[in-house]
Amino acid sequence: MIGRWTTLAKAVAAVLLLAAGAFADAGVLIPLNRQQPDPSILSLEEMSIDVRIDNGDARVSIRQVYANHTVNVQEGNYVFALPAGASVSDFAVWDGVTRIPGVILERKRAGEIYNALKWQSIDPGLLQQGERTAGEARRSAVFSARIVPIPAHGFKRVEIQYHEALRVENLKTFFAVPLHPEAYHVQTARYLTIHFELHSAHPIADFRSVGSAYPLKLSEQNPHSGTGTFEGENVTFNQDFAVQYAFADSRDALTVETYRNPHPAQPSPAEMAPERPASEPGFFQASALFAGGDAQPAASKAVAGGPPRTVVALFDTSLSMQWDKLDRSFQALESLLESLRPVDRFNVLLFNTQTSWFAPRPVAADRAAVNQALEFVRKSGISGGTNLQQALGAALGPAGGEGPNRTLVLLSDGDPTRGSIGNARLAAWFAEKEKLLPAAARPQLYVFAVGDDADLPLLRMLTAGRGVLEQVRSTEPINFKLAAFISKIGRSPLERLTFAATPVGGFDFVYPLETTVFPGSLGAWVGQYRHPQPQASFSVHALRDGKEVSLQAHAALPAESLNHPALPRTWARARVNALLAEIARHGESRAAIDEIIRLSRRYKFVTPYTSFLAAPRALLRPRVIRPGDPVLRVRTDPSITSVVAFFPFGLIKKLRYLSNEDVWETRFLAPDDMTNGTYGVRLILRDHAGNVYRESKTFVIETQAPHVRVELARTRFHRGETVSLRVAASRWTRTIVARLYGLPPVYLRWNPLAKSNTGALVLPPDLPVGQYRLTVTAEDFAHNVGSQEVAIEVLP
Amino acid sequence: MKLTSIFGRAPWLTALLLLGLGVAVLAGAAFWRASRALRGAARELAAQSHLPFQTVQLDRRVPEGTDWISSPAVFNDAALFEGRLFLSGPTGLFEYTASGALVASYRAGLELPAAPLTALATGQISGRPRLWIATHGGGLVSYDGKVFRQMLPAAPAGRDLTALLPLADGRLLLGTAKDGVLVYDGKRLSAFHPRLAHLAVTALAGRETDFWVGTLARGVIHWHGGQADAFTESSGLPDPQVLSLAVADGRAYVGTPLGVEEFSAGRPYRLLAKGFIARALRVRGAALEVGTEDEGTLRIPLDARPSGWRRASTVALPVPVRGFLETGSQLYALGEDGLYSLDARGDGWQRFIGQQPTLLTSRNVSALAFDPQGRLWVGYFDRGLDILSPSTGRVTHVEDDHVYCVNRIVYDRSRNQALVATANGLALFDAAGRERQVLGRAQGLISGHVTDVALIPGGMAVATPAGITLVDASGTRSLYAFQGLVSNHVYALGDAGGRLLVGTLGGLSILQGGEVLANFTSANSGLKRNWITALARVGNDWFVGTYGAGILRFDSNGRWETFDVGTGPFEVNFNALLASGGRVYAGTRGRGLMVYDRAAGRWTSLTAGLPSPNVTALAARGDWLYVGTENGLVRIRTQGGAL
Repeated sequence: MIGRWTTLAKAVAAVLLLAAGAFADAGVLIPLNRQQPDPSILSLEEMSIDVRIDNGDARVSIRQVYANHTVNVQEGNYVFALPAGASVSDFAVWDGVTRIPGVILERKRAGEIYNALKWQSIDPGLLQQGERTAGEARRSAVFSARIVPIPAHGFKRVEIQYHEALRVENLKTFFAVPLHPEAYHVQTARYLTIHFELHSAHPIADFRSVGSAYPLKLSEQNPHSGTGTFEGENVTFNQDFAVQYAFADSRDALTVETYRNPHPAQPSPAEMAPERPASEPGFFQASALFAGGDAQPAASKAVAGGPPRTVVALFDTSLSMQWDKLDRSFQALESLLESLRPVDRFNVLLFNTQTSWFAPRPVAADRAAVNQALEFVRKSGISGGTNLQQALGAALGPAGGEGPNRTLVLLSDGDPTRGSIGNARLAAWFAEKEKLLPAAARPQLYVFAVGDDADLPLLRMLTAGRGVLEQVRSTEPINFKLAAFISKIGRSPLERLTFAATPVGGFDFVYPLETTVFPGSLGAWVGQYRHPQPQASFSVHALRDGKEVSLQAHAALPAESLNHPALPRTWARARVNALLAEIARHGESRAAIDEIIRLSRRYKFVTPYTSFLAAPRALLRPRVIRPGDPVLRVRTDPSITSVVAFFPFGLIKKLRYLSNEDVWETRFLAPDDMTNGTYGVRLILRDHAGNVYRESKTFVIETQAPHVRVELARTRFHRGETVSLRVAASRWTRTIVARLYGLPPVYLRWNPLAKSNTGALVLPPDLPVGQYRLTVTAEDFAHNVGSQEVAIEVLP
Repeated sequence: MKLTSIFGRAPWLTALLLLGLGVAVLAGAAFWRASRALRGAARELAAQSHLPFQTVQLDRRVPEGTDWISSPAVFNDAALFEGRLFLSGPTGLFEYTASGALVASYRAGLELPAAPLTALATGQISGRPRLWIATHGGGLVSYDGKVFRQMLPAAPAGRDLTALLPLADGRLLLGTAKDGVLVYDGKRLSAFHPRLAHLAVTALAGRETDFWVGTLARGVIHWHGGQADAFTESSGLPDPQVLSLAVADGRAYVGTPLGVEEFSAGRPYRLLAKGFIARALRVRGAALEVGTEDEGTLRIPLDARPSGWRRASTVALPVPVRGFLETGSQLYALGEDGLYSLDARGDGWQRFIGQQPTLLTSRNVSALAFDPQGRLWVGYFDRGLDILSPSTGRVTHVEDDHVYCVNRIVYDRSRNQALVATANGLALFDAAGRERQVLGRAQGLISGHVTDVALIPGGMAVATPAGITLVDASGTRSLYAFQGLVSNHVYALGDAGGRLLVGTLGGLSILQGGEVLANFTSANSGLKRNWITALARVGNDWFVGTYGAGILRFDSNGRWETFDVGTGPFEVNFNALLASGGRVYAGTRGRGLMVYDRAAGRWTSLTAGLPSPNVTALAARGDWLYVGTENGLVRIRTQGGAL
């Protein structure tokens, strides 16, 4: 019955499964078997966003109500992309009038419950760090959960809350709730309300909404707080909700906030193993604002003057960097090299298991050299593992330059697989290696970590002291972070930064929230205080550009203070980070793990040793059909003993279990007349107890590379002009990049108003006149690439 | 009564009568015209509803110089006809005596049309009883015990048959893969009813006035008394896909991937065999026999209690069950690998008819290559590979977690090893045919799914859907679109002595020194379609197989040339291009083997003698060309044979 299927279909280009995931947006509910939100099936009726910023902590609570417009019970995948530095603290779905919250559990137990619920045909959502063991734990940037049932012509309410640590850069703070879609079509909320609240111990100024889509109506605004609201109907999420504010006082200042609740609340009834603390300590946070930044990006300032710099970029070309990480690293490299002045010098080191230098010595950062270096990187292949030790050693050698004002910029996921791969050992080796250099010749290490699985513990150790670490996740926009990161290059962080509090012995577990603090930013410390005190003293000392800075503050340690409820959680995260660093250095201990689990459950954040269980009704753990050709690969729970696939064209195939990869696999042939499009494949899974489960997955057959059509109003432009780009591309296109020789790339985004992908390419005033080729490249989810070249002429 | 008197006495009455007469005449004429028009319209409608077809008697002879290399049959249906057992499968029809001895086999592509067989039925349609054979793409075939006749509908949708149901009134219902239910009376073929049109039919069961139609995704339709009642998941079925049907004693049983729904009085009654993938059903006495995909068979007593399903113990069968057959009191289950008889106690299946011993492990060939010892390496779509030794007749089968889905086999004479590209890595075999190493991502490949491999100076190039990896003594180095490759999806490689041709989904890239030298696409060159599927070096030129534009010639100056016959709207299969002797061979999807005579500069096509028009792999040795298809392997003599 199977018949004459095309064998060539094995070469069908893109079979892609929709892992809820690779790219996602804030709060999207996608109907089952759809690739995109479909408001004709599930529409966003109501959305409320409640933001409370308390100094460096932003708590974002989102409530969404979806309406089912069909006569059938629907189910959908709820996808939420978390910003970097954010972690889910609550998630709940409503079943009628019943709120069903999620809980934090130890990983092993969460897995057991997850499995038990699944066998009851209740799919529990599970958010945890890592797929397997705590040792392999990594953070997932995407939280997803299956929402079922959504009653016919009924509503479904979903709530999610997360906390995000905010940074101060150049005396400014930027905060955004990612509403603008990264991967999915633009959503429209029938009713949208935003409540925004800001509290800052340091006086603030220039508070403003970024963008025009959600103008806040301010009801309160003073130097230490601001409150605003936005209400709208039929609001289309064309932009992120974002605010920016600056610190009004450019002088150094130290402030202290406290929190103590002598009557802690009862444990949540949803907590499955509640623990009540015997006595509640107090918490404090001391925040030191260091002057020295200003409204102008430091990079611009450096361009205007300052001593010449030597920048050595260490570019990771190991296999683990494939796809997005390589693209993002390259974007960072382009921006980095473009920010250099001709008086600066640079070199580029490609590294994987081997190393390869762009030049034997750093070269002047003129236009030609920068372009050659970028071409050098573009032409390099990717291969093998990552020998980070070899790369760092080479960068400290002659090709990495010598003398003062030298910066090493590591662009990597920081996952060493060759050479010394133990975190503590590698960090210690690097520190020793640095010490061999004269103090003035020791370079700063700047790390731009890419990807959700970046090895942050190692990179933190490497940058501790004189370095900077920035991470950008796969789901978040890169530009803001990249600009802030580059702005710090060539600048010196504060040195010998110390914090002290008296009475001595009155405080426990004090941790810094930032490992490196630059002028113009905030250094903060959190800790516990044992007993209420009428007054305590806090002091911070540091060297800024060789000059001593001393800050003092006095504050009461009250018996009861409930103004900063996020403080205990901030402290707990800092404590857990310290314990994780300890484990990374010296190995696991039962006591450390137990404490991490206890803190994680109490203050609701996910760690490598805990999971967030959004029980019941949520996603099944990913059964991923990987992008690739028509080979169906399915990962299941260990108890599954048989998987049979039912294809939409009638083919029935039993999958084969590949033990070495722990996946089920089969190969299929699409029939002759199967056109490009999205198809469903149904899986019947049976476990060892005879229980049967039915799963539906979709795949895409796309036999053509993305189609690209560039629309330019004209082809002749004057220097200094902005070229408005409009590009039509195929439906499954994921990224569109426009490149013009010698200029940074421009990433185009979908513009619903223009009904096209748009972007702006700014021609520098000093761009040489002549003919140029503008290349626009589109890449789809299966990494097919299509491009079009357009000739343009640059006039004086 | 005199008329005059009447007229004279009542002239108004006379006028009325005349008027009535006139009206009657006019009405009669109108009725006659209307009747004639209606009859004409009916004739026209009938003519339109009759689907054109042709009937041919099949008396094919095997082309000379063509040898079939045996591959195992896979069975999908069984029937009893004139005291003989007939089993069908994609490769052909097999005739056995009642005691299970093979009498004859009829191969798809030779004695039968080159189309996989899908279903069997016996019935008396317009004359003597016949065995009716449904095919996927070849229409309907009948067999009267001596001669095969093919009824080939003109429309392709009518040729793709999935199910048969002979009716007592001498008609035959045909279930099609897309075109719903057709009816054939031996002379005319037509759509059965508009309500049963445009369906993907999977099964048929019942009688002429009351039958059931199982569909691929729209549940089951009950046709009774000119009325069609549809039942889907929302109206009682456990799943919308119907796999099997059985009707007995006024009840219908609908097999789905999640169990069997019993219908009583045309309404859903209860769910049986919950959770079982019910691929075959038969009511036998007071029990329902259920053949499953992966759990053997089970017998369900059909007692009167509606309380649900009383589970019977399953009887193991190691293969998917595709049907049941009953002769007298003996019940048979048709497994994919043979016919099994139920033992006397009813608790075990005994193999009654098995597959004939064959040389090959599978019929679905995806790669072919010869090694220097003359051994033929046969890669399969999803069954690993066989190494056939012509000297000893020995066959070595290799199948494991890596060597499973084979894409390409290349023999490296310099290192005396075979490189086997699979969906799970690149497997390296030594000269003795032992698997020595598997290269995957952990060993530096950019992807574990290897589509092609080419030997290049100092090493090899490995094609994957994520780019290519160059392997040499210094290690591995990978490139994809980031480094300038025209597309990440690479399907074919060709080494041109220092330059590497890389055929991709998005066009052809030329690499030199590990860097992209040039990209050719339909936008910037004479390439007709971007998707490159196969490459073969022919002298200084390259023949390039495409998906959708046939074959083109790419010369050493970078020019693209088309062929009169070889270039066209068809697909060349994945790496199915071979230059050997004075010819170039191309395996196509659906057009058989294309042959280019270099001396004459001319393409011809060959389908006769091939088990399938879908040619997937090619290899040549001596005077023989080995042609792999999705339905078996043949070898054709290159001199004096069909070529």
